[in-house]
Amino acid sequence: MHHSRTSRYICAAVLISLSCLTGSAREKEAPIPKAPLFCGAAVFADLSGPVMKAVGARFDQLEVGARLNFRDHYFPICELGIGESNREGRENNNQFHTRAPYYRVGMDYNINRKHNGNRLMVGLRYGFTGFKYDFSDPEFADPVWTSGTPGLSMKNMKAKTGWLEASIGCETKLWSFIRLGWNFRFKMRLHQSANASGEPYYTPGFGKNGSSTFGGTVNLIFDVGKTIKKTKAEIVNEVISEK
Amino acid sequence: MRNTMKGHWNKCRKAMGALLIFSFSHFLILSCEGIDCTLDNVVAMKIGFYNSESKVAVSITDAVDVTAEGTDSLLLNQERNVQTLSLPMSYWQEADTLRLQFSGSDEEGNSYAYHIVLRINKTNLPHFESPDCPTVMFHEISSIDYDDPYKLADSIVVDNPTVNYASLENVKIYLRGSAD
Repeated sequence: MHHSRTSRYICAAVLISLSCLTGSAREKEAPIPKAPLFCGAAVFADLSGPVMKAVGARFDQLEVGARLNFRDHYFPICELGIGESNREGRENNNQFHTRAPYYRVGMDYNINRKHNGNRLMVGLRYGFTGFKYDFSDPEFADPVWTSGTPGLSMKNMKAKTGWLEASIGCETKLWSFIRLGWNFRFKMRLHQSANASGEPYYTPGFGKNGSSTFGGTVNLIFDVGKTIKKTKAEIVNEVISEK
Repeated sequence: MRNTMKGHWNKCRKAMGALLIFSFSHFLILSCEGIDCTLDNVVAMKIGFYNSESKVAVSITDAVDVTAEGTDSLLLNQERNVQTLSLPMSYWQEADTLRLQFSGSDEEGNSYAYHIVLRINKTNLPHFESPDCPTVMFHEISSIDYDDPYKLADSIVVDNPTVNYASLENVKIYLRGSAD
């Protein structure tokens, strides 16, 4: 029930984004000029992480990244962040804690053929993290051999996880070299090693632990270097649109 | 120029709308979480009784009592017609000493009681699935020593050393002849 409603919202978001791009595409019917091989670079920060932290979500992350731009279509990308989770059991006093860095490398591809500042991106990334996690259950006690002191605390359990992310998203130019974009990601766990006592509840960068999960980012993007200046293609497009 | 500005504003509005919807759906995804705990979460050691010659499972018609060293609790009380016993294990001890007592009365009405004492050597491994689920203790049986003054058992072997949710038979007791 929840999942069908959620997917309906996601579909609506994707459709609106597509209409945004196709709408702008309809405005111009001119031949598409080729963008230069190297169109610059960009750095970005995820805005959703601090919001999740502020509203007290079960886990959150602070993430930044950088990417290159080739032909305005190919975007080799690297992302790094710190993921954190402090989680208490809903019906008990169990505690889970972890805070660790994570890394992702991959590439986005812009499927919008026009170089009009809007981009519809599909991408693939490999994510990796090695981290330590704690688990405690203050009420853990032997119900039959009652002589021991109750309580269980396991600290610094080690885990390593690698996963693959397939993403779809869009971005638009807000002002000059500032862009805003979001993407939706399907994450599939490739490998994990964890403590024999139990797998971590949360994996930094991946999300709630499991064989697969969903996620996404809302990125504030700053074009740096070459892209601060307008590319030839952008100048041509602007001239056409003004006509 | 004015048209261009209007176009930019429309694009921004669409982008912001998409962003809002995305943020909302993102929040929904992260909010939807059930409690996925294992339902069959009883951890107990299973002991099965077998005929030493035919290797067939046998049912114990005598009343079976099981007591353990280190606790006053009776682990099993006057259980009859049992083929397998499901017994808890201690969380923190490295070995559990169990006394299995079989009692009844013969055809002439004389009561009898025999026993076997098992010493189960093991390691304990706490196990958790999620902060929402109860923590349990798994065990790994390394060996079994036993004291059998009435020569009831031909042999006692560890069949599955891992004691967890799997509910497999962990220990097999091969009883001599017609011990049942």
